[in-house]
Formats: sequence, structure tokens, C-alpha cells
Amino acid sequence: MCGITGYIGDNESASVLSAGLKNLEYRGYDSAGIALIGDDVTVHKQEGTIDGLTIPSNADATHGIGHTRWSTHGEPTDANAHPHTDCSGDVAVVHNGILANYHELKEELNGHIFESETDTEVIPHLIEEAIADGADLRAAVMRALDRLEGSFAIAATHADYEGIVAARQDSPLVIGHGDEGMYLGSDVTAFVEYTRQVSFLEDGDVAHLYDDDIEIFNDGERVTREVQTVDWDASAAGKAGHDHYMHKEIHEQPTALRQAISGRVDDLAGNASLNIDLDDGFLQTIDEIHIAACGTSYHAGLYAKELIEPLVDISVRVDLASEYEVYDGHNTQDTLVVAVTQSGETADTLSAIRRAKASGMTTFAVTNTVGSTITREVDDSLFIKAGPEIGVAATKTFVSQVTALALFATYLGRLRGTISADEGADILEDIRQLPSAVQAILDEEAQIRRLAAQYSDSKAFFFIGRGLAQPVALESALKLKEISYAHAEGFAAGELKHGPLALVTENTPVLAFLNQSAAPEETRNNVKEVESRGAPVIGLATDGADESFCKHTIDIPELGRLEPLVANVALQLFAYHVANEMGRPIDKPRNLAKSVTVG
Amino acid sequence: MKAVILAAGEGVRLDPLTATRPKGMLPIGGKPLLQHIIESVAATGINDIVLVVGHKRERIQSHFKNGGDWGVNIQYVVQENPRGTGDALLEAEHVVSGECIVINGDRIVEPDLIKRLIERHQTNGQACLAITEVEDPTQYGAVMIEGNRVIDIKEKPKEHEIQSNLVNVGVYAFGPDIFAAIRRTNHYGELKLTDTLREFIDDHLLHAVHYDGMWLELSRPWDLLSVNSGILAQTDSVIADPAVVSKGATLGDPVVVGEHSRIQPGARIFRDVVIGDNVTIGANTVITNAIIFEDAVIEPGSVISDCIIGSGTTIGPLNSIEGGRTDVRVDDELYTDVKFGGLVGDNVETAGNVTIEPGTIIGNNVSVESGSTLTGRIPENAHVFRG
Repeated sequence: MCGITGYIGDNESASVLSAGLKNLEYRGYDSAGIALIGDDVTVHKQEGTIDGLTIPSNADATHGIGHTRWSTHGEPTDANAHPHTDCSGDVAVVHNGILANYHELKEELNGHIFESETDTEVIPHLIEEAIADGADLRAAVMRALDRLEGSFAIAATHADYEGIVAARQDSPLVIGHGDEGMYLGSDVTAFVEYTRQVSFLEDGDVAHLYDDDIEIFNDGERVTREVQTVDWDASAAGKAGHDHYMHKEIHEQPTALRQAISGRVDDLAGNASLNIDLDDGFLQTIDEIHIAACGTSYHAGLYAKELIEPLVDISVRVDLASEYEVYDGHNTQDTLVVAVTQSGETADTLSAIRRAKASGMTTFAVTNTVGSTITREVDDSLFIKAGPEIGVAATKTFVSQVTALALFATYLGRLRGTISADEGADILEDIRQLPSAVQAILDEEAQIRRLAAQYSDSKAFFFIGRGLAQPVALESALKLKEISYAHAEGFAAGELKHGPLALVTENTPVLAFLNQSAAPEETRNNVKEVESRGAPVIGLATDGADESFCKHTIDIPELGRLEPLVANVALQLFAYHVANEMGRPIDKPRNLAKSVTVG
Repeated sequence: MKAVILAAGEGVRLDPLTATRPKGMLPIGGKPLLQHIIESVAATGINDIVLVVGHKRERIQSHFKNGGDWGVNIQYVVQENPRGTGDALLEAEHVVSGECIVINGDRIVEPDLIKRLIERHQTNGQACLAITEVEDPTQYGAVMIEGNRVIDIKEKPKEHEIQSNLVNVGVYAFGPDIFAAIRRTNHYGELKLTDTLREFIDDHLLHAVHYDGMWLELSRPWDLLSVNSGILAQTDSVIADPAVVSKGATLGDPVVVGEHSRIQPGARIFRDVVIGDNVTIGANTVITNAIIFEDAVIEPGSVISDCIIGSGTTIGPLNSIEGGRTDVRVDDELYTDVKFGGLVGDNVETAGNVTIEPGTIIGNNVSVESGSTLTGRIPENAHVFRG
């Protein structure tokens, strides 16, 4: 997704901004650019990698803005890269998001010269007009904002005016308060090596950054936004000797899981301690839970359904956030809507939550990002505490999401009296053992790498599982297709014979989940179906079980309801090594962005 | 100046603990061995550390990341196969290119020694090697000196070969000429740094820097317990903030309890005990002089002394690890009268009423039926039935 960075202060702007662009790389991009403002404005921008971008030299620059672009309006070209300028070249603007009414605005600005196909370019020209009418930079940005419809975050500068003016409407923007200046970013990663003191802008905010101060306005009024300390340290954002962020993050899972459960397991009481602010009486009486999420988070939601329904005796509906609708006749009073989103900024999930709120439902978020948009919009949030995830393919956040949701399921079951303290203690014991079970899989990486090498040139890969393992089959297939571009599909094992079996040949390995908690006897029959078509089968089997009919097996430590989640870690490694064998750019798969903040 | 820490070794004598983790990640006083070394280096003002890693290197990288938590920049260099300390240092050449401090990744030394080596090297421009005096040099590299000049190094001398009780500490300061010297070294099999130094002294000065401070070295399983006690003796007890210690549990001193560990009522944890992260200590368990790795569970009523419990292991109820002195065979050498209650590997599960006799070494992923008595060496993945 597009990324914004900005800096004003005593340091050399060009180097701070180029570091910011590098930090934003993980969001996915196809072009990048920088504007430096000194006596005049220097803009360098181009299609391609940040390493290929020549950073402008402008020794008298006092501030600047930068941008990584992920194309929506207009192809990735040099001209379409940001920053965009006005006719005079004095105004420079970077923008994330989408302007709904740019066609009309562009027609209205018919005397102006447009150089790109982007929606963004109307903004510098609107600012130019306002300045021609006598407005200063801030007033000009505000006047331009009045005309814009859509979701966006922007940052604007002018050669003759001090400071950077930034504005947020539905697209995140964070200010960093440093000792040597003020920083601007689409997220904290952009400047975390310079400062951890941050404030999050809210919708409608216009911030004016000076080198040692900031003024924020909302709806014409001066406002202040709390300065918070973020605990993500810059060292956590490096690759630390791994070839890819994804590999680093796979190996961080035992630590991330210990954080996710830290302080949340009360084994003596057989309950999860979660600090949930939602009213106990409400949670005891709800009769339905809706889960809305996208991509990997959707798979975490499907896993949560398999955990919650039997433990809490409540019906759970899981929807893709982009498909989530609430129709009349639904009992909105007694429904809890749970949004699962790593970034807390996913546009589809935010809009689903807004529809739920509008229909009167209580909303709850499970997210990794403190201060994210979703946490401000929902009634209560549960943090997964996984730490920063940079690899576009989610790994540790999936495992931490399911863990947080398993704790939530235990909490709900105990609150509603559907599970006893003893049953609660058993589930918590499995949760508590997750870190060591995941570590045991990581210790077997060499075996998984050999399997990946053996099958990396297969025609397609199929993943089959039942019950708790079905969402994991979908997730494992998503992981492999995201980073290797191989054809990978996950199926409910019982569905194979209803169609997908036609795809199975001796060139399509089938990865089958045979975990104790996922109906292994029935899945074994499906394994036999595919083996009789000659497909090589890799079984993910409970440690100690005899699955010698599979061509290969990967042993998974026995872990009750959470065992399929541990099996997922083995297939993260499998996906990683297949993609690595194929030489794919694992951390930046083509066409994909980390958090999708456009709808 | 950069510091190069050689942390790629496999540490086979510490098996099974080193089957799943590098030696440098073994916990001592509640933090990995390597962390003690990195903190010593950071305390000297060196900011750039090169870690040469190999065996199970992901564990090191996941823990130290880029070094930010210790105020240093860590660069990783990979030695793919264990080919000796000289080869390991050579792997770091492309990122060092100049003077460097070199530290064996299995020794804890005080920052002051590193400072003195830097000063000495910067004053005279020559290679320096730290030496210390020991009672029995047969397990070490004995160093012969004239004045401050090293004239010979003898690895693991036999009794009759001992000419000096001074041994190589494993900490050096080198100029850039060391890399060419390593490349020139004649060697069979592994290329050890000491092989290079033995040839290097023919035409170079190698300065000995005397050291009589703390020198803790880890090579056999029970060293972990004594080194741990040595480190704990210098520090206060630490109970992590998110740990839960029930009322009615007793914690002695010195004791370290890791994050999110739970100590149930009636547990008594006496001295020299380190408990890792996410560990459960059951009610009425009694523990003395022990290291319990992360994610382990000790069920109620067990007595555990002088022993090491691996990660993710469950010790069943009413197990007995009595501790005390015994004879132990490791790597075909017999060590007599060592204080060693036993070593239980990772992801072991023992049922109730299991007795583990002193000196027992249990491999990873072993499961033990109730009422069994264990002694000697139990291979990994074994299932122990009650006979």
C-alpha cells in the first residue's frame, strides 16, 4: 500500500527521507519519490525500486516529503509517481488513498497542466489556486480538502511557506516527535529509528509540522493529540541475519506467542485474564457472533469459529469483510461483531465494522496495532501482541491471532458457564504449550526444506483438512500462492470428491492434515483417494501416530485443539522454502501490499 | 574497532541441549551465554559486533535481532559448516577489514579484559592474546611465554607435557594481518585459530595480556550449573514482572524467575535456581540448584536438585531428581565425582513417580512411564517402559 514519509528538522532531510522510504518498502510499492524544499523545490521520482531512486541533493533543504506508490489510478510510471507538483513547481504533494471526485475536479481545473494519470494531481493544483487567491499554505490545504471526497492521507509543502501540512481522512497518518525535528509517516515504521514518541492523527485532522512544534486543527478548531510512546524498537524491524523478513518472523513465533499469552493464563482459576471492557451481562446474553476479516485474518476467524462454537455454545458466522452485510430482521442487539485485522487499517474490515455499528451492533477488534483506526472505532479491542510484522505474507500474526481468539473463546465459555474450570484449564494448558510446540517444528526445518526442494517444481499443490484443520488448509495454500506464485488450493477434505479431485495428478502433491483433533480417520480416506491417482502425499500427523501410508510425514506435537495451528507453522516453512527454491522476492510478492488500506 | 564473537560451534559435549540450540543460547543466570559476552563488549564502548553463527543460528538471530536492545549494531556472518575457529574468523574478514577484538563465544569474561586488550593493541600495534592461570591446563590451550611474548601454544597438553599453568582465555586483539596468516596456515581437518597463532609467532610478536578476573567456560553439562551459580552469586534475584508467584510459595536467594512463569502455592525454590519464561512450577515442588528452560512444566510434589530441565519438558507429579555427586561419562571420557543430578532434554515427558538417578542424561523427546527409575544415558525419542 502507498506509504508517506516526511521530515522537518536539523538533520539532513534527504537521508532521513530515504531511510523512511526504505522502512516503508514492506508495504509493497511499484514507484517512489522525494521532494526536498529549500530555496526551491527539488523532486526526484521514478518507477522501480527505492535502491534505484537517485536521492536529490539539495544542501539547503530544511524539510521534505517522500512516497512509495502502489498503483491504483494510473500505471506505475515515472510521471505517475509521487510527489506531484502544481504548474509553478512550488507546491509538492504526496497522497495515499483514493479521491472519488477527481474527474470533476480535473475538469474544473481545465486551465492547469496535468502531467500524470493519477487522481492525486488535482490536489497541488487546488492548493495553487487557493494560494493565488491569497491563502497561506495551511489555509490553501484546508480549502483543497473541502473539495476532496474519498479516503486519503496527504502531505503538502510549498517553496515559500514554512513547514509541512498533513491531513488525514480515513487513511492513517502518524506524527513522530523527535529531538532533532518532526517526522511524518503512514505508520510508525517510517521513522521508528529516530523517535518512539508519536501521536496518531484522527479523521479530519490537519497538522502543520514545524521543526520543533506542531499545530493540529480539526473542523477549524485547534486540537491536541496525545503523545504516546510506542514500544516497537527499530532493531525489531531489521532482518537480523535472515535472508527475508518472512523467515525471521517465522522464527520469532515462539517469542511472539509467549508475549501473546503473557499474563493472560490463570491456570489455577482455569480462565483467561483478558481485561475485556465489554459488559459481562451483554456477553452472557448474546446469541450470535459475526467475524469479519480479510485474507489470513479471515482464516484466523474460521479457526476461531471452530473453537468458539463447541466451547461457547453460540452460533458463529464468519464473513469476508468485503462481503459482510447486515440485512433487516437480524437481531442486532444480541450480536457481537468481531473484526480481525493485523494492521487495524484494512479498508474492507473498517467498512464492515462501520456497517455493523450503523445497524446497532456491538463491535470488537482483534488486532496487532495499538492506536490503529479500528481500535478507535470499535467498542473494545484485544491485542495479539505479536510485534511488528514486515513480511507481506502474514505468519506470526496468524498464529498470534488464533491464540488470542482461543483465549477469548475460553473467556467466553467460562463467562457463559459452558465450560468448567477444569475444561478451561485443559485448553489453557494447550495454549501455554504452543511456544514449545512451535519451536519443535522450527527445529525440524531441515526436513521441511528438503521436502520443499523435492516438490518445488510441482504443477500445483493441494491442502486438505477437516474441522479445525480446514481453515489451516486454506491458510497454508494462501501462504504458498502468495509468495511462490504456484497454484495452491486448500479444500475441506470431504469436498475433494465433489470436484477438486479432477485436478489431482502425480504432479500435484497433496498436503493432508491428520491431526488428532481434526478427524484424521476420515481424512485418511481422502488421502487414499488422492494416492490412488498417484499424487504424492505429505501428511501432517500427530507425533507418534502411524501414518506410514503417506509418502512423507511431518510430525506435529500433540496439542489438542491447537495442533492444526502448529501444523500451519510447518507449512509456513514449506511455502517459504518452495518460494526460495523458485527465487521469488519473498518479502515483496508482485502485486501485493501488506495492509490493504484501499477498498 | 569491531568485536567478532565466534558463536558457530556445535557444542557436542553439551548434547542433547545443543542438538536444538547453539551453545551460546544456553541460559546462564537467566540470560543466554552470548548475551553475557555481548554485554561485556558493549560495556567497553564497542558498538559494532560481528557474530559468526552457524549451527541453529536462527535462535541467536531471533534473540539478538540487530542488537538495538543492547545499544550495539550486530552483523551476522554465517559459517555454514563447522570448520574451526580460524575458518570462522576468516568468514568475518569482509565485514571487519581492520583491527578487531575476537572472542570465543563460549567464555564469559569481564569488560575490563577487553578494554586492556584494546589499549595494549593500540599502544604497540601488535596482536594480543589474553592468558590466565589455572590449576589443570590439560583441558585448555597451554601458553608458554617469555616476558610478555608468547613463544608457544599447546592444545590440551598431556600431564607430562605441562610446562606452564597459563592458558589461553580465548579473547584476542588482532590487526588486519591475521586474515592472511589464517589463509596461510597448514592444517588437517578443522582450521583452529590456535593453529594459526602457533605459526604466526614465528615471525610476529604476540603479546600475552595477563588476566585474573572472572573466566567462566562451558564445555560439559554440569559446567552449566556451576557457571550459573557463579553468575548468580554476583547478582540479585530477579522475578520478572509478568510472572505469577502464588501466595504460599517460597522463593529463596539467588533465584531468577522468567516472564509469564507461574509458581503455584507451596512450591519451595531454594538457592541457585533459574526458571525460564512461560514455565509452570507445580504446588509443593522443591527445587535447589537447577536450571529450568522455557515452556517447561514441573507437576506438583517433585523434588529437583542439581539438574537441568530442557525446554517444553513436562516433569510429572512426585518425580525425584535427588542430585549430589556421581561419575559421568560424556563423549567417551569418564568424569569422576562431579556434582550433577542429571540433565533432561527438550520436550521430554515423564509420568508420575519417576526417579532420575544422579548423572542421568535424557535425550530430547523421550517419554517415560510412571514409576520408572532412570540412570545413565537415554537416547532421544526413546519410550521408557517400567521394567
